[in-house]
Amino acid sequence: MCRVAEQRDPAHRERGRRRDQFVDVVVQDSLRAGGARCAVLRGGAYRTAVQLIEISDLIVAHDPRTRERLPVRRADVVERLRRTGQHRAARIAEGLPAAGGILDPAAVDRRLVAVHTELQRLSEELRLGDRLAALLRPLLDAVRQTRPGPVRIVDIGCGLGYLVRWIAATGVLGPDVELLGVDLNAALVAEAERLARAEHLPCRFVHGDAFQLDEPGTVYVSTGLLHHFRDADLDAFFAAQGRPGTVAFCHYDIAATGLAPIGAWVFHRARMRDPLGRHDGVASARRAHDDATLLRAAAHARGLVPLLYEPRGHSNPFCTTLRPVLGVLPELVAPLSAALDRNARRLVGAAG
Amino acid sequence: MSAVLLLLLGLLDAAFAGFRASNGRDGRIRRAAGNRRAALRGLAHGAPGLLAAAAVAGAVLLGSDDPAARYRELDEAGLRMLVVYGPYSALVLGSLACYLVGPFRLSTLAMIIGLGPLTLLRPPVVVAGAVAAAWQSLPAAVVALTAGVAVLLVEPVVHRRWYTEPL
Repeated sequence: MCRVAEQRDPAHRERGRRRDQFVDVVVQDSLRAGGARCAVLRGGAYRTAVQLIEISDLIVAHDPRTRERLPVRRADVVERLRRTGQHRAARIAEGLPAAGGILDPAAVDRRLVAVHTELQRLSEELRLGDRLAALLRPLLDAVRQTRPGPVRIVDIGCGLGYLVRWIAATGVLGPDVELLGVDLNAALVAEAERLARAEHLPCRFVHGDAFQLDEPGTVYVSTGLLHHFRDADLDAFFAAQGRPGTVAFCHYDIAATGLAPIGAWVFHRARMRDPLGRHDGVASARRAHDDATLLRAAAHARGLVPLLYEPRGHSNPFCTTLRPVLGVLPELVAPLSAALDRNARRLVGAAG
Repeated sequence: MSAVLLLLLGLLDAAFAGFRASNGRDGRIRRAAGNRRAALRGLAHGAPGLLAAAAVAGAVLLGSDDPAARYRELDEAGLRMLVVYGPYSALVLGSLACYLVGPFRLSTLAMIIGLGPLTLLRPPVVVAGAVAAAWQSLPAAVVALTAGVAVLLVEPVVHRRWYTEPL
């Protein structure tokens, strides 16, 4: 819901308020059911970030049913970016190779692989693997206490599969973990698979929809994905994870702080060479969802308790550039808090 | 003395420049060997430039009517350079130490307020050091210009030669 629309349309605002109340009740009930002993976060206004677009979201299109690659007209991409006032992005899009006005898919794929390889450097420098492992280890400890058998971790929108490959390379989560990366972009999946094979890593990558796999994930994870979804799409993304067999999710995204766009600009300027990557990196930070929005959306995963780890006010923004929203089965909340030990104070739920 | 310290700093910077030139091009997880190779490539490209600066300094000394006075002039210029580069290098090395040995939150902090912004500041710092050296000394300006250009060229040259495409 757009803030401007809320201000202009009282009915719209009222619908939003009722919806917020409903979500808060769900969250509170879930927390009670889980016996959570963690801090409570009070939701603020339902904020939608600036409606910026990332170039990489526009230059690849797939048929939603068949996932077949669709041709993309360069002029359409340029026009769409201009309409949102992103003139620099429009100029970058104008420079993309095209034949007969249609973007060259092979060139686009090469560019995206190059940008994602540069992006991996940022993930490495921000120690994203360690950050994820610090939370997934206690989470999996809690899962193992309540549910025997192997754990299947599915990385949604895995890109080059850095996190999956890092976990596989370090073995940090133990040997009973099956690691699977899934992405809609075939070129990125192929590159992830190639890199994993080059290092003989015990993980797999699949081109497709993470929610249409033959077997669901025990735990769904992602990094830098959530800001690509807005409003109903964000709710639907979480709703899809409330399914039998899934015990938790853990999605890291950019912490929506005032520092995030500045930090993103500095880092993408210092570490990335491709102007497309630099643009999209800063746009990502500006599109990041705030904590209250994520908690409300996460409540749509039926049967899972929505939580935030290291939200604003509980962390130093210089130390926490990305923070996760979690969902866990109610019976996992108490063991998770216990496994986190002192760090349980960083775990926050929601209340109306 | 200042010349030796500056040479060591220049070589260290060249190794880091080689490492940076390679970054973002190899998506593998374990690539310590690749990082070492990149650092050596940086050194291999930085050393000739620094030697050229040393040769220019030697020529300036030999061409002087009073080599001892010219040496003192160059040494003072080198000290002015170190006044600029010393604190910057200390900040970089301190941040790097925190990044490498600290827990991940400290590492992130070292990266966010240290290594990331300091990388962006590096070219202006190199220029500031050269300007400080060149202050009221034309011979020092020639040497500093040669050294500054040599230092700043390492990363783009290594990148263009070996790392334009993902490996």
